[in-house]
Amino acid sequence: MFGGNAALQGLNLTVNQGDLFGFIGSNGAGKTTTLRILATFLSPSSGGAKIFGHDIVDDADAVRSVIGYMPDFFGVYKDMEVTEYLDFFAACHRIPGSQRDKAVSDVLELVGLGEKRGALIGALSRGMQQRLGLARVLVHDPQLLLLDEPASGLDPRARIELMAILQELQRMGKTIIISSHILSELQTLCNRVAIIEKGGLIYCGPVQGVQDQTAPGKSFRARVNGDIQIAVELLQADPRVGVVREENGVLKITLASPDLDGSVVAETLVRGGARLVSLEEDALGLEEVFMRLTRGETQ
Amino acid sequence: MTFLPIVSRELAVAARRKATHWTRFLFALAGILISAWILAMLSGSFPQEAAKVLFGVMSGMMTLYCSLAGIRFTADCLSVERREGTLGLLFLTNLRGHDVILGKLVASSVDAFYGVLAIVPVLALPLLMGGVTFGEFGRMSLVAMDTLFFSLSAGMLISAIARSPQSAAWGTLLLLLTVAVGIPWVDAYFFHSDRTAGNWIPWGFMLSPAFVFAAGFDTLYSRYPWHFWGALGSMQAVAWVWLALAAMILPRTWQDRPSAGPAEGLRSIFMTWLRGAGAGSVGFRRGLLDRNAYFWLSSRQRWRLWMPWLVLVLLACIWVWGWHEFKEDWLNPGIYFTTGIVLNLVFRIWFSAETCRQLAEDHHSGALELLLSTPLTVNEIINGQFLSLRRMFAWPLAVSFIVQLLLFRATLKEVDYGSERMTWICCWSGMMLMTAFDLVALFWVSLWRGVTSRHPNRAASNSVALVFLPSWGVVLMVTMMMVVGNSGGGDGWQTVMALWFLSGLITNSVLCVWARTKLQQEFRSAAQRRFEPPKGLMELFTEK
Repeated sequence: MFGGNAALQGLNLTVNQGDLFGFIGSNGAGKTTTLRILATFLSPSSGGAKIFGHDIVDDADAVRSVIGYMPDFFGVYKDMEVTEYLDFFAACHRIPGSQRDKAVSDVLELVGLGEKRGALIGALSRGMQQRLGLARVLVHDPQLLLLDEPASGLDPRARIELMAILQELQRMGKTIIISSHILSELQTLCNRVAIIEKGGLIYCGPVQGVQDQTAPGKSFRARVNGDIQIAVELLQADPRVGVVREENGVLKITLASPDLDGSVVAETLVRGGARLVSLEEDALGLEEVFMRLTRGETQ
Repeated sequence: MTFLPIVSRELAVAARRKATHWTRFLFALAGILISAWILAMLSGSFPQEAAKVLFGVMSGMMTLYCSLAGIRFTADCLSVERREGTLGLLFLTNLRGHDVILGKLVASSVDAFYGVLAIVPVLALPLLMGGVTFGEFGRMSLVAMDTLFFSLSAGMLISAIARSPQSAAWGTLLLLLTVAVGIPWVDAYFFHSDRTAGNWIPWGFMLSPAFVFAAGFDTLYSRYPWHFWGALGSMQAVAWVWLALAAMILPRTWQDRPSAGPAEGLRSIFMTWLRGAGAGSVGFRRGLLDRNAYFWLSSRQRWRLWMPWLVLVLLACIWVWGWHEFKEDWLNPGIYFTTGIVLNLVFRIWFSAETCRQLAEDHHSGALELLLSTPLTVNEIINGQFLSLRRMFAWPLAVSFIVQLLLFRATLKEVDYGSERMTWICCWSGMMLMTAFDLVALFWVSLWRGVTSRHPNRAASNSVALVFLPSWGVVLMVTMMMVVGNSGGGDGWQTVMALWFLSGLITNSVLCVWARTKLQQEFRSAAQRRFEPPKGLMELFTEK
């Protein structure tokens, strides 16, 4: 609760070990609040959560040792050197002095900052500071990473490199919960996603599932030679076809049932005398799914 | 006049802010209470004499407040924007340097100006009682406004250059001390050592608020009116020069500069020396990190370790100069005790500032949130800060206490009879014991204020005010009641002293328990409030 507003309400979700889990929502939907609660930084007014069997309220110390939390801001000490910074956080995680050097070197290599170990943090670029933030959350080898908008403000190259690191971490067996506004990247990166709005859960499951759930049937893009309006009328007359739209000479068709396939479109058009030139399945992007499912409402 | 819309907007914001009205109310209340206390103390005097004393004390306090206002109100107003990267946004618009400077000056000075405005009617009370002329009242009001502008302008100039809040505050204090104390001292000591009323022209004093304050009273003004107007005009002119310099410097300092050239090389060497480098630095880091991670975080800037020693040496130099200048006259119990007061005051304020510095900075930058997501516990953070303070202050404080013991002994040697000896014994032992109690209370209160205040400098001043003001308030009230009730006999001071000590002890104990409980129970929830501290009465008074 923030003032009289409930930041989260009835949010119930499970993240499996090894998942790369995308957390999607508009600004103010409750993503950051959820991650801060999981990071034991905020206590929920009611309800609870467990991370690897540890309760986030009653067993907060144990939770902190198995998570790595990266907030949506840097929070770095600009007058520190890269190695000092990581050494300090490794000590905060109670890594013995004899093991800290190796832990710091390993994470620096992993995030590609090996050559910057002696640099002042204030002199690093935004992308490098973001990598350093990632190195910080990895220094104690946590099982779960909570990443709040890690790609925010990064250039395309830095974003792609960051995503590659995250995929590598997933391969290493880490569980990752990532919130991001760059949905196209989450679509390819994550195996599961959750969409929340106004603090409530709209969807939680595989990426493909949300696409299926949003559209009643499969979608297709078709091109025809001749009068496109006749083709539109033919398709609209067929009860197996749900929605038909024409955009820049291309027909966008959504079937009425998920059991139907592209042959329905081909059959209807050919039987009606239209000259079908091409027909391809149109996978619904995560961005379009998000726009359909949410209305951009905040608390 | 591009700055006028900024001023208009800032004034509208100030008008809606509760703190603006509270500041005015509390200043007026404090003025009335202090005036009542002074009048009660002087109840046996003639009204005209009492009015003169009241006027002198109140206008003196007002001038002191105005002299230091720049440190609090303007010293960090531009540097904070530079740190947060918003200063550049102003220069991407049509605003010029002078627009930003004047806009910020007005915006940052509203509370300070209202504070002075609230005191001025209280200052008029002696005018009604007689003994103070209308001319004196008018001149003192002018001195207050002129000094306020002078101090705020100094803060603007330093703020245009500084980056950190500490360097902004210390830089402003240094500039004000140099101009208001250093230059007059050099002028008096080196150029007018044979000063007499007839041939002495105090050019070096023309920029000193203390001088213009003294020159405003009828006794001096009637003989040397141009001293007053000259000093008033000089301060005004210098303040405008400072603002002009700030307006010139600001557009050149808001951008990051490329790191190159010999100056940058020297800077790099200096910064490396400050931070420490090489195997020694690595060993130092490992040793402290193994003991307590927060200990290293708070102690890593090794130059801080030497600063208390530097201040002790500086104070020793001033003391030796006084001895050399005034010979045997310097060696008296009054000077000994004043030395003790200065030593304790400097260390208490500094101790408070250091206690809350790291926490306040980390809270502001968000780094505290990162720390709290690790297994580092609140107790470890508190313990780490304690170890760091012990490392920095233990020996300098020990030396300071030994010096005070020696001065105490010297006092007892000079005063070897009856009640005066007892007075000094009570004063010295009370002061040293209370300093120790205050340091404990300041530790806990400053830690809590460091987590809850949005500004490191204000966290320290709030803590000092919380620890100091209640006991002095009690003394103020009790002495007033004693005088009014005519119960203050010859031993009245002993009662006041005992009450001061007792109230200080109780206040410190209550504050320790309160702050410690808050830290143990609410540290995490306070740390997660991003730049929005809770608004208590103290915050309404002190925070914007």
